[in-house]
Amino acid sequence: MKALVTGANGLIGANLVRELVRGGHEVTGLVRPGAALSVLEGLPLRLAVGDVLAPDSLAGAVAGQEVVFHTAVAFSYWGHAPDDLATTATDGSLNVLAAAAAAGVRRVVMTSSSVTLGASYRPEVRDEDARAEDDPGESAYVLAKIAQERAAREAAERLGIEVVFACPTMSVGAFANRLGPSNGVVTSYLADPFRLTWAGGCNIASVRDVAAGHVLLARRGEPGACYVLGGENLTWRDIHSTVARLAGAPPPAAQASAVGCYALAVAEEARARLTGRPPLATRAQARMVGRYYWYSHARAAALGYAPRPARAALADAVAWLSASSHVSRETRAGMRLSREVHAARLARQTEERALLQGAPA
Amino acid sequence: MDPVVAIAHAPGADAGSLLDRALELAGFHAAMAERVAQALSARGACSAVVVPAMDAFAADSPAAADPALVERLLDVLFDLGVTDAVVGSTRATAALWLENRDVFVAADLLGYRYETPAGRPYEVVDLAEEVRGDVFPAWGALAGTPLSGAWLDADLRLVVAANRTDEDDGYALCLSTLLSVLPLTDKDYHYRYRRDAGEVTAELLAAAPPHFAVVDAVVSAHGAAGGRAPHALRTDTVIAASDAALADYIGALKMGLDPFVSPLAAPSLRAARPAAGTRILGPLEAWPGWINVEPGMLAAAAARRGFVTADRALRPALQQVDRELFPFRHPANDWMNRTFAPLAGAGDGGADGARLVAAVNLLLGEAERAGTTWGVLFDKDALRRRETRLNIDPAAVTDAEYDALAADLSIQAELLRGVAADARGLRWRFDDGAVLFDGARRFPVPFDAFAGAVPIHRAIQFMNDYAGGRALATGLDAEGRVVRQLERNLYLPQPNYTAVGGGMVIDVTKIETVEYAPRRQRMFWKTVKSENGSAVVDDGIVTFEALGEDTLVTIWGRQQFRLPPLWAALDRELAPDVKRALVADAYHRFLDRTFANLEAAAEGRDVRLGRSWSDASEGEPLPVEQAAELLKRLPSDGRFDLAGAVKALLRPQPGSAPQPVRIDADGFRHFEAAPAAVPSPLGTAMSGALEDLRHAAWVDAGAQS
Repeated sequence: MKALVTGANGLIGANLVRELVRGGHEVTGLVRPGAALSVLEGLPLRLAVGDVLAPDSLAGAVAGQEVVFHTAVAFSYWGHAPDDLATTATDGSLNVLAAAAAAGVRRVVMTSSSVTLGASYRPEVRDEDARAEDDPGESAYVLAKIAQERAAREAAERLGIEVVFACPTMSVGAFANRLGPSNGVVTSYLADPFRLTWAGGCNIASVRDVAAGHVLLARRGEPGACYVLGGENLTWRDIHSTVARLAGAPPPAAQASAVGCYALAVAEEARARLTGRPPLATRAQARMVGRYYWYSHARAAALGYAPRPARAALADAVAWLSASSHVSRETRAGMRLSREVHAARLARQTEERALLQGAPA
Repeated sequence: MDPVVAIAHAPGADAGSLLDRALELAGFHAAMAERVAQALSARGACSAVVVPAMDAFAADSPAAADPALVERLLDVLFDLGVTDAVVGSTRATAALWLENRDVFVAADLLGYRYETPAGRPYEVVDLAEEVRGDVFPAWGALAGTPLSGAWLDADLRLVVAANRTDEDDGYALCLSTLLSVLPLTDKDYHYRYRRDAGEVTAELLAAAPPHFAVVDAVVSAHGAAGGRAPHALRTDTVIAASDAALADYIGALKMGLDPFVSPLAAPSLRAARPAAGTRILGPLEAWPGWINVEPGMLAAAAARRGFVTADRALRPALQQVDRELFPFRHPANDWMNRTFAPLAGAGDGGADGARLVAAVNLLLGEAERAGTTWGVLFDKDALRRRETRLNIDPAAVTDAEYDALAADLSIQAELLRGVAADARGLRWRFDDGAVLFDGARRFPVPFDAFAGAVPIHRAIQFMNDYAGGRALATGLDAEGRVVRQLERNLYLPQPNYTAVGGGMVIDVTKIETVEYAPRRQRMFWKTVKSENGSAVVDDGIVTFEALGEDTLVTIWGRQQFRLPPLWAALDRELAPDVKRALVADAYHRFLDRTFANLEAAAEGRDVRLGRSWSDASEGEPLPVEQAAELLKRLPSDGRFDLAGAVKALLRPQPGSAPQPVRIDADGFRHFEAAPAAVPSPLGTAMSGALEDLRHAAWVDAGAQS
């Protein structure tokens, strides 16, 4: 297929590009002017420079495509004004849909998020039939994703274009230009001198599986439907313990209270404002403490989606992150990578080499 | 020519005749005529560069060499046959915070007229232009620093110092002036904070020394505040010397100082100490009425220099400046200077101000020590990296010393045979006060990949708490791999907690050899020097070897570091179990973190701790610029309105008495209507935070139930 990936240099975008290239597809990546492109270096794809907020810049990129994967949106709990998040999510999506419709593209796979399905204070698993409330207390990111999905659904109907919504859970892994909240789960635990964990849980998925899930939805997803692209439901304690084992770091020493997490987030935000370095956690994230972001990917599994275990996803993420600047030197000096992590790195490097040489992995 | 220094002193004499007399006594004409003749004969031309002291902040300041005297010297050079004589200098640190410090403008404002008294035109040149590389040795402090081609190529190089006291070095004469030959603008940053000023000066002096040095002491700048608030004193003297260090030596004696008080000059003075054959002509009595910077103030200034940010912030605030000639570039510096410089230069000879500054300096120095200790213990990447030079002569190390290394150390490694490893794989024992230890780690990385990513000759640089140093390969094998090396290593105080009691940076210089085999590489090192006496011994062996599909790394060492007095006062032999526990803990930590560093190096990471120095000519942005940038960023963030928050805090509180806008003829007080209640940004934020906390408490209550 001929496919356009918006946000091609983002975490999901860069992995999606690889998945498409690996599958022998013809890929165009849309990136903003001046974007960092190191994660796409050497890959056989066409780069188009544009901005989803500049409709005129999209026509050339969309022309001739069979599928558009719209991943370009800021996933962030820090450093973006709420209005900017909403504008990029909603206006950006509407612009992409309009451009796709104008170019005769039949199908758009839109990257939404599992957070649009809400979360629970009890350890229960939610599926695509659940919805998050438009709670003004939700973070700007969650509200932006809810608005994006709603606006895109209406626009798709109006424009007569098929849209399939991919709802990834916490996607961890390699090829991130910037440290997003997902991989931040790993790095913030490793950097935490108190080794704190907290109540609640999350669904952890490998970003490589999430990318593969996008391609699957392009082929077999039902128009207008949402599909959770997840991995494994784990408590935060299990996630942190797994990260600790993989990275050779101490296991969680204590479970922080929600009040404590909020206080730490306030302190971290203050530190970030003073130093200009991003906080380990924000108040928006602290408000999520105690909730279970647990989801079922049964609907996607029925199409053939088969994610790897969370431990394997985290091993791949640790392998990538430990070698990156997202883990500080001092944090790295306290780590001892497990054999699994080394194996994950070797496997990824081998695949990457094959990809760059143009041979199938 | 034997070293010679001449002191021409004549009360009331004019500067020109004093210069002539000093040059004549010192044999200047004969010595220079020979050089001029050689140049003319070889090239038909003879060039001279005169570098005068220009560290003055007002016209006619005694802190600079008198331009009239410099121009007179140019005439002397022309008379000798020099065909091209120029005055050379570079921009210095003050150019970052003052206007008009460009070489040409400053020269003009300080009184250079581009024509000698005899009517010969001359140029002023910026020695930061047209520089050449590969001037300084690769193992030196100035390795990689370029140097002015005009200075290097000049047939005659001369330096003319002012005669002044100095808050940093006690005195600032020819060697201090010589630093203005170096090209980078922020000289304090690059040649004092980042590198050791003494090492820099010695290397510069060795690479391209002046052929003659003059100290203009006709009118000197003395006083307790040094060049910061110079006080003129007529001393009616010119000193001329065949060697810049010798001129400084004698100049310091004339001030009544120990010449070695200057950290900038001391290493050069040791090499130029007057010896048999040296001629010292003229009176050596100290200047009457001369006021020096007191030793305590020098120590306080040194303490402040350690706090780089504070030192860079304070210098513009304390310097006496003629702001008509040299306006401040930043209004904040201008304001601070107006406020603090008069205080800092107050009193007889600046003594009262100097004491005040010394007190502030000591406080800042203590703050820096506390900050460094915090950094060593908790925030190593906030520390600045150390840059230094190799402090042994590579030519002095013999083949026999290299050849004996492997055998010497291997037999010592045998001494651990039979020692049981503890649960974490560490083996260790005491040996003559030192600790013999080893540990190993198996990395699931193929040997070739590991050895390719981690060059074994750099293994020491990957060890825990390596803070900087310099290495020089002295032997390569046929494949270009390092087989012999000299290395100076600096480590943070060991164990780190000794930093609390004044623990020293571990400073060790080693000779090293490396062996390569298809499935094994080994590096041996032996300590030959510890510049600061921090180490008695720090020898070791590191081995990389293939183990199946993996790589096994083994580190053996023999170490003994000196403890600072506070820790040394505790007799650890009285509590042997505690001592053993501390030793074991220290080596567990060392090995764990060193192996982690090696693993990270194999990933391609930079494992060096600390912040690097800026290579920019201007160094890092000045603190005042950084503060202004921070203030600009805060209100523009969109989520935190600093100005609004301050206004909210200053807004009259409920219940506070309102002020009348008018009192009428009947005595009635009139008030403005109260504005409608509008929630303040601070109030909204507080209310949101309280709601979040209430929610968090609810979550906690649910989690516990």
